[in-house]
Amino acid sequence: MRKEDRERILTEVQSRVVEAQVRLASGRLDEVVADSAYHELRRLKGDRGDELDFWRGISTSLASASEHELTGLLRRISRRYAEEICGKFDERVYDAVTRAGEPLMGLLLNAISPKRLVEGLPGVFSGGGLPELPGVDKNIVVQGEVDTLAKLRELGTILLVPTHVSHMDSIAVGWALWKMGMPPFLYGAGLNLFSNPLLGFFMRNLGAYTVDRRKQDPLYKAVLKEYAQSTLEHGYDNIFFPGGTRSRSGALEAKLKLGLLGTGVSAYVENLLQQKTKDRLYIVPATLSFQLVLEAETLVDDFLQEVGKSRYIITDDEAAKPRRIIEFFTQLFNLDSKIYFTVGRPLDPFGNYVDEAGESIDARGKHTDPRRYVMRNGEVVRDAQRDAEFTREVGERVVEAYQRDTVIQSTHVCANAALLLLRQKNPQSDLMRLLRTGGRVDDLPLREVYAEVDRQLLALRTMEARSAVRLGPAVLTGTADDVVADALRHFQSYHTREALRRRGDRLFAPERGLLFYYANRLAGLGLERALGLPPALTPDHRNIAART
Amino acid sequence: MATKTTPRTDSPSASLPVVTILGGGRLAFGALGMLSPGRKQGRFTVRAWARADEGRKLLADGGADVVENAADAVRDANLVIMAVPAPSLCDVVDACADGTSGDQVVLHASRGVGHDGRLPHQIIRSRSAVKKVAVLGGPLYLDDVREGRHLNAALAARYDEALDLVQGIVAGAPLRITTTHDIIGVELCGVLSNIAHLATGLAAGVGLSETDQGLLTVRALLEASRLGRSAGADRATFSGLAGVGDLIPRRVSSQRRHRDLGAAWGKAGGDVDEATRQQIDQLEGVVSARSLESRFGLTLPLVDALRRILDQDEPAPEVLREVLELDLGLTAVGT
Repeated sequence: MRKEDRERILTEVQSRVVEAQVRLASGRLDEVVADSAYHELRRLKGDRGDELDFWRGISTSLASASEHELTGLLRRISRRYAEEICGKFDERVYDAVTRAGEPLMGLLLNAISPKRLVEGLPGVFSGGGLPELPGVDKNIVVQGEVDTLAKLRELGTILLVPTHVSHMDSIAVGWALWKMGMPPFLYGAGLNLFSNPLLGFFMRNLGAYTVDRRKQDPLYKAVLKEYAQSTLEHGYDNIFFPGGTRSRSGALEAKLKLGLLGTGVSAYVENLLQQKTKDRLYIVPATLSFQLVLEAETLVDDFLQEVGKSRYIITDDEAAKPRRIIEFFTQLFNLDSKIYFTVGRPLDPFGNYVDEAGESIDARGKHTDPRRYVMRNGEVVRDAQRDAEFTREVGERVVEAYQRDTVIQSTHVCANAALLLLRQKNPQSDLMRLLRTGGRVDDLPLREVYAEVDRQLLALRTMEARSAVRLGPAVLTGTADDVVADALRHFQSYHTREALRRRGDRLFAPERGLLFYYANRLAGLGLERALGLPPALTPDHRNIAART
Repeated sequence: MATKTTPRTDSPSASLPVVTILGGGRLAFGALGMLSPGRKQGRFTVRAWARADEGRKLLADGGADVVENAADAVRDANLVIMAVPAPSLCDVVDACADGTSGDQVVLHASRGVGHDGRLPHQIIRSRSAVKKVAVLGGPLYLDDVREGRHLNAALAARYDEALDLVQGIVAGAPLRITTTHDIIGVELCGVLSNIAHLATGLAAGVGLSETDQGLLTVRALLEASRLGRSAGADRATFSGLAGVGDLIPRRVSSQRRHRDLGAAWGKAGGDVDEATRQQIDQLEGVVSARSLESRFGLTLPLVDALRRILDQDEPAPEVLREVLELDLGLTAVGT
């Protein structure tokens, strides 16, 4: 971000938020400020320092503040939030990152130890001295609408919306963007990630701004949304993870958080109202597919907690342990495992697909003028309800793209086949019981697994032929034996307990939760129907189906 | 709601709004009647397009500016009223699609699905540039208009803008409107209302009792609700004006085409003349019965019964009795 833009954006965010709050509060601005102070003082209970002093000051001033003074307090709070979100921006770091001959991802992957990695970091600032980075190129596959994305960046602003399974996603996306010759996009990352020196460094320098999910203050959320929108309006490409948080179940996101996604249409409307020359805004779905997921064990454990006990913010998972990160990538690349980053078909803010020339295409395949969707009687009009509805439509298209573009790999198919067979052989156990305590039948004859994998391969390849899914090489052309062997190699390599293990001519599932996690990547494809089983997950992919 | 506007020089004219009616049948004339107060007050102009000469002449006599080409008729119109039954919707949308744009609102009152089982708003959105679609459902009896009574209607659209536009255009007309965002629910209620009407007509034709006819109506509502749940509709819609509020007055009224043709079939034991057969085949309810199940993949006994009676020549009394034997449950609506 350019220095002059930073100041402009902060001022704009502050004034828009204050203006909106004054309008919405209709004379009860004291309640808005008191609400903020209440939430923050509650959060900071037991803390000390500048932040607490700030909020105590606000709270004290509030008691006798006039309407004018209340607006002043609101301005101070909004400014503080906006600066915190934007972070202490260091232009030198940003320049170094955008110029870097090799991406930070490569540096991360090549590091033998966290210590050496940290020692290697200063090289970034001097613009040289990076170590050799073998293997990254062939292990991360960037595919899909790559050329279109590059063209659209020239024509408008990009809102990239990838799937989210792991904290490694933002690093992999950052690498993929670099590989495509693009500078880092801006994106919001949980404040907890910045406390990890390793991840924090990479994230900030790949364009991250901070999102403190511990903050419950509605004003903070308003500032965050306005900040994202304002950066889009200033032409900064953004990444949002519309799933909101890493998928706990391993399933693809089926319901999106539309708040930040909605900044796309709002930013476009503002661009039109301000008659900007580069007014177009493109929403680009993207998918990431890993054979193994760094934090799978923690995530699925969290998912399988009783309802209401799962955590929205996890701070103590594998991503917080640099050694585990290194182990993870070392194992993946030793297995020649591929990480797929697939760019989906770009959309306009109304859910229409966009062609290479950046033109919107309506449902019948003809060019249509996107401005008309936000016009009434020939004028561009702001309309929050309309925009929310368009965003919902965009969300539906994004979910479709996730299903269509996620690369299905051997671990997913093998886990799905094994889990379906275990469910079929243990009809007396509901799914939760089966996952927690196992069933009467705990092992599977290998030939039955091969047969089920074969059946799934056939179904998946039929779907692939009509472009309904994407398949990794083993799943696309391999035999059932190849797929099972590849999956078992992966399951044995990294996790502390294996999802599946071979013993003679039988397969066991030492860690059924992991089996469930990897199988869920195929949720929504209906592969369980042939075995007469219901889906394991309810349609929103957040809860286990009531009847299994 | 809109908060601020800025004029654009390259946009369509901001002059008097235009309302276009597509279709030349009873629905089109009903729509023209609803537009009459606003048109006479000079709040908007009315364009119209119909395939048949007779329809065009009647629309022109009613004060509409009749246009030869459907695409020209809808170009830059603010509101497009598609006054055609669902089976004709695809053709009409295709005819006008080149004139459509993203700022337009399309209103329809179809009570059926297309031949491929898609709901009317899905047909309109998938074949044009339009996204803002509204449906008028509920007990819309044109007889009420003719006799000077108010029409009662459920107006559904996902976009408030569409609801506001339609209500503004028909202001002053004898119409009581209840609004909702649940367009899927209102459309499905319309579909099953026609199916219910056909079924009760058949039942009357074969001599089943009033009670049995009422039970078939409840069965239709149950199946509408089941469809709705599968398609993401709001269950409250089925117990509102578009659902129960439509089925009850329809049941007590006997001057309906679906009911009459159903009764004719029932009385004749299926042995109707070719003209009647053709009329039955073109009914929205019949087209819907033939395509609903395959589209939604649900078990719908009443819908299935109609297909068996009309397409497989199974005896209506036995088939309808099979449906009546089924448990309706105590929580029919929304289960």
